[in-house]
Amino acid sequence: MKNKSEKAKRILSSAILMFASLGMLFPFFWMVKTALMPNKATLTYPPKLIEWPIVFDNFIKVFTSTGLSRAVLNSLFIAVVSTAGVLFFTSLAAYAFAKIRFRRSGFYFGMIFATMLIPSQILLIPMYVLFAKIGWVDTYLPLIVPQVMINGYGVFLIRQFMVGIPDSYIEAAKLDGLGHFGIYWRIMLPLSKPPLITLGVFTFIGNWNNFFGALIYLDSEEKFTLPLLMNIFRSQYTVEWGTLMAGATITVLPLIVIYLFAQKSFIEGIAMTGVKG
Amino acid sequence: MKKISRTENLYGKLFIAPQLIGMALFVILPLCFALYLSFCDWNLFGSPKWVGFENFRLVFGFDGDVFFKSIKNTVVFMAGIVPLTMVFSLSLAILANRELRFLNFYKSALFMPMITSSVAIAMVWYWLFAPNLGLINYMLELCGITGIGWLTDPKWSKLAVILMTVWQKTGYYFIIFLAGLKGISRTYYEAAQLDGASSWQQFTHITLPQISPVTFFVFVMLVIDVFNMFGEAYVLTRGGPVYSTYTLMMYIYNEGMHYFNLGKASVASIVLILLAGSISAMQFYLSGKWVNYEK
Amino acid sequence: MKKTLCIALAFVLAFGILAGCGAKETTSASPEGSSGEPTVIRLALMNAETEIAGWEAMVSAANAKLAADGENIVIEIQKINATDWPEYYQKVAAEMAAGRAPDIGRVAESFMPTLIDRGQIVDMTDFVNNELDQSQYYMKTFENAGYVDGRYYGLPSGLYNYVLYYNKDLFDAAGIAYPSSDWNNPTSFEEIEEMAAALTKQIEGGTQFGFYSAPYMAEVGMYSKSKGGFSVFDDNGNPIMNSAVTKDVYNWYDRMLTSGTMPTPTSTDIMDAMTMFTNNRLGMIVDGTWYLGMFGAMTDTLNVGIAAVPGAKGAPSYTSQFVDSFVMFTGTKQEAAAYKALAAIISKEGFEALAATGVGGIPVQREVSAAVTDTLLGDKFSEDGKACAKNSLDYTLKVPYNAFYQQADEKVNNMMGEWMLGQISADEFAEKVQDILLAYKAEAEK
Repeated sequence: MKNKSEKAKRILSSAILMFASLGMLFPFFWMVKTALMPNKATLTYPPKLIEWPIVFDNFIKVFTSTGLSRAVLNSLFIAVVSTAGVLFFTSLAAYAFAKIRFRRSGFYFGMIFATMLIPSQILLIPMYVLFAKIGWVDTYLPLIVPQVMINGYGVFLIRQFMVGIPDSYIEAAKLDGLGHFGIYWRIMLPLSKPPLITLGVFTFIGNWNNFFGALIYLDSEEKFTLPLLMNIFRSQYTVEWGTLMAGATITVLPLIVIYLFAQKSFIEGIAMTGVKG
Repeated sequence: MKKISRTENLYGKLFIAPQLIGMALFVILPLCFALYLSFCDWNLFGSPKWVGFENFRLVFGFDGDVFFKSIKNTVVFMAGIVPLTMVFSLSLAILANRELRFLNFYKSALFMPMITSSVAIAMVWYWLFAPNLGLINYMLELCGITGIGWLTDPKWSKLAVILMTVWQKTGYYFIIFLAGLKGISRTYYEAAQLDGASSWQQFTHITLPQISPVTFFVFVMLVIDVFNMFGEAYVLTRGGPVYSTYTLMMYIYNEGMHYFNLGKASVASIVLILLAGSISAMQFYLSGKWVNYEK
Repeated sequence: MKKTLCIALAFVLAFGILAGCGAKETTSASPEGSSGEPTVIRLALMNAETEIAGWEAMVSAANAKLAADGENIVIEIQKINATDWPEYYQKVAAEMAAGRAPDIGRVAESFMPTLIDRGQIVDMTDFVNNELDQSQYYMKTFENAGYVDGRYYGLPSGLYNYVLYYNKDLFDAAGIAYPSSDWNNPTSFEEIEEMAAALTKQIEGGTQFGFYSAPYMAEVGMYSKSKGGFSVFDDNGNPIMNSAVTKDVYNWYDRMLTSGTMPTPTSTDIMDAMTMFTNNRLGMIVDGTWYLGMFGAMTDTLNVGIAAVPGAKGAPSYTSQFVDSFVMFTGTKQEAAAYKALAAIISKEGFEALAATGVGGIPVQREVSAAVTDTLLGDKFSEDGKACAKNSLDYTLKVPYNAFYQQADEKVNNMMGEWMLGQISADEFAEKVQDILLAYKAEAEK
């Protein structure tokens, strides 16, 4: 009896998840489909699910565009350094806010949180002037340093997970003679793997896809990032939809690999650190 | 209340010091300049010209009709998007938090909206919402409802934008909820099952309280998301028809980035910061009543 | 001990990140200009794959000319991979605010009034009047872009304008005569209505429409002018969008929209009108000469003819022109060299190199224009159509951009929904447009 209802539940869960998954996948499928059509035919009517014959011209065009490998390396550098920096500095602050009692911690947390409310649009010009003054324009620093140094989202996210970790772990570690950095490094970080991986994936994606920041701050072509390079398939009056979508597809493929990898270590992370509570 | 020890105080401040320095340099400093600009007219050359409350008059007076409409729209979007996204993303996360075949496929699929080109997303939603040939109207026709102008009729355009935004945000918060669910010990459920608790009881007595800090995070972030709503919604409707989907952020974007009326953009930003800030403050204030922090 | 070690480690990590990026910066620092070094003039260009080769060719021709003239000046392109003109302007504006704007750039016509209004580009009148050989250029084009109160602020980089494209196969199938290619005797508004009705029919998967022209202010103004009225503003700069002539034009649109012979701009969301046209689902469309190249490449699936845009019977018909301009940004420290660079760019050699790539529209340099128009149009269109495209240059009309045009236009387009839904009549909408323009004008004059 119990098995039967469990089985029914599973089938129902699978059905709902399958429906939602297909709905979420559809635009992605559309993007790949458009990339596999000749530019001329990308907006034919009525739209068909699959258009034969499929062609690989667009992908070939993207793969042979000059500076591709350079742009991939540049994007990778920015994304990796940013992600590492963000994870370290946000989790450090999140640990302090979640588990260390210090004066005016609520006030400081409120301030850091409030940075998320400020529209980035009004900061653009002042920031650019600042970075130009200190010689950071046309370097990767404006794309990396600000989010590492102030990241209300990351601090808030990790803090919300860390407050759920019982104080008893910390008390036990203190008895073992660990200092605050030791507790952070040996206890809090391993126990916070799921949110750290989540934040890491989001940060990596955000930086990998960061078009606008790269457009504003980078001048030299050899420093251009992948989204910046892929944006040339538009012009003032016409857009090469097929090539644009091929570029978008190639841009996001590495993200899927990273996400799958993260999902795997996600589960391993839980298994290794044991459970909380 | 225990007395705060000196080492705790020192380490706490040391650990948040990088964030405070970053905040001073990269937020407060440029923000002061932006706030100063709200009283100025600046052509980007030379020094800004002081104009007093002229920019306030332009935003609240001259642009008043559009500006206040954009605030009203933002409130409507919040009422629709926040609860729907929370329900969908949490439900899917709970469904996915068990042993299932193709689980990795589901998880990856739900992640896709985050990395799909926004142009492709907008193209597909155009097609879904199209009046004569769109999938949604086709399905409604089968039920005897005809001819809804999803993107052309101010009565329906808000719902269209809400639907698309919920679709887009659900996958994102699904991942966060899933991370939260992964942190709940199996032992709680095993104990509850031994006591004969039903699935619903397990959900309300274990799952909900255990993930309440995460739920709180999602709740707060969704409100901020709606205030920041721009990207795909802008591509889909450009704020139209008749400003029915125009948001405060679109106003700030247009003034600040399109026409470079930095003063007006700053004035509108002050309104946004005050509105979003007071709602967030209220959320934090009320969180003590329902968010379960371990001690 | 361990504690300090860990903290030290954190700082090392932080510095490592900073140093890692900082190191990159030093390697790319450009050398300081000494006496022997050439003066570098930075030219900001929108980087689009289909066009950049043309601009690069133009700049290298200009550099060759500068070298041949014995000038120690080199033009360097700063490629801006922007999605659209607003993004291009965002980047340049940020650079301006920081005092490191490019010396010169190429800017869309619609942005010129804003740049002029704020003093962000240099008044080039002295250069145009004294140093430019005006006999070499179509000076009318100079006066139609970046020209305010007798002052020149821009040098045209090329010219586009509207023509009426029609689908010959659909006309043949409907058994009606092609629209007129004579700009002095264009197809009349009434005839267009009749043709549109004859071309409209239900086909597989929806409607085949007869005619499309965007109902925006620039188009309505252009048609009003052809009907003997004014384009958006009268000679004194007062808006006239509620005049009888303009209301006539709005009602002409209204009749075609309500009878379903013209797709509404909103129903074209799923598939824009140009896509309908290229898929043989639309009989006629008024659009820019920037599509000529695309049609030339589609001759196997699409049989396009070129005609004059609709006008009044027996009267000349006007066509809106779109001119992007080379400008000099305020704050350049090398004005003299920048003028020399600009002169080289718009020289005969520069335009020849650009035109050879088929980029940039009709050149404004007379010799080049005469030589390349035929090559630009290729052998894809009938002689009649080619003549029509060439003759259109004599009927161009400036879109009346001013300091508030863009903002007013955006508001008008957003409010258009009420008219499109039939909640207000065409006349009422015309009054609304007039009110919006009047409000912006009053504000601008404060």
